[in-house]
Amino acid sequence: MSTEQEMLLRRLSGAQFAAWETHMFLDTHPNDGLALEANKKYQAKFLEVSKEYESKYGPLNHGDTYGDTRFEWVNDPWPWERTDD
Amino acid sequence: MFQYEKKLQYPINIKTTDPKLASLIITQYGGPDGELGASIRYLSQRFAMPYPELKALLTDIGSEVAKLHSNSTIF
Repeated sequence: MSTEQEMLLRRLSGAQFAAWETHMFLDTHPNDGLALEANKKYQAKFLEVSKEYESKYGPLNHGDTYGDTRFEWVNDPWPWERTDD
Repeated sequence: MFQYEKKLQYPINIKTTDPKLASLIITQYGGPDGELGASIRYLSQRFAMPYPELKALLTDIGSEVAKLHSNSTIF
């Protein structure tokens, strides 16, 4: 796995983590406007970085095929497969 | 219920293998005290939960621990 891919994944996971934590906080504090704003911000960040990642390294979700000749979801490698050794 | 994403939640890079630690970690995956059982318990208990905030929370935590990928990639 290239360092660029690792860096993108790290940014993606960071945004996802922040989005998820604010989401769960909002479950018990649904009227907290500040948390709602933060959640929307991180959610948007996650979507933005996902698009960049998918354009370079293939779909993250099974529906996100970009080309029209191959169902890219089936392409190796899968997350549990190491590519560096 | 949940959607699979073709990525890990957190990067995994095991440099030295440790069977003893592996046998400890696997008890957190399956078995009576593992994430798998916990996930199903959250998702079942939410049907009896009267408070809307906590229905949401049980749903979210239950589907979150269903994402056991980091844990199983270790093996």
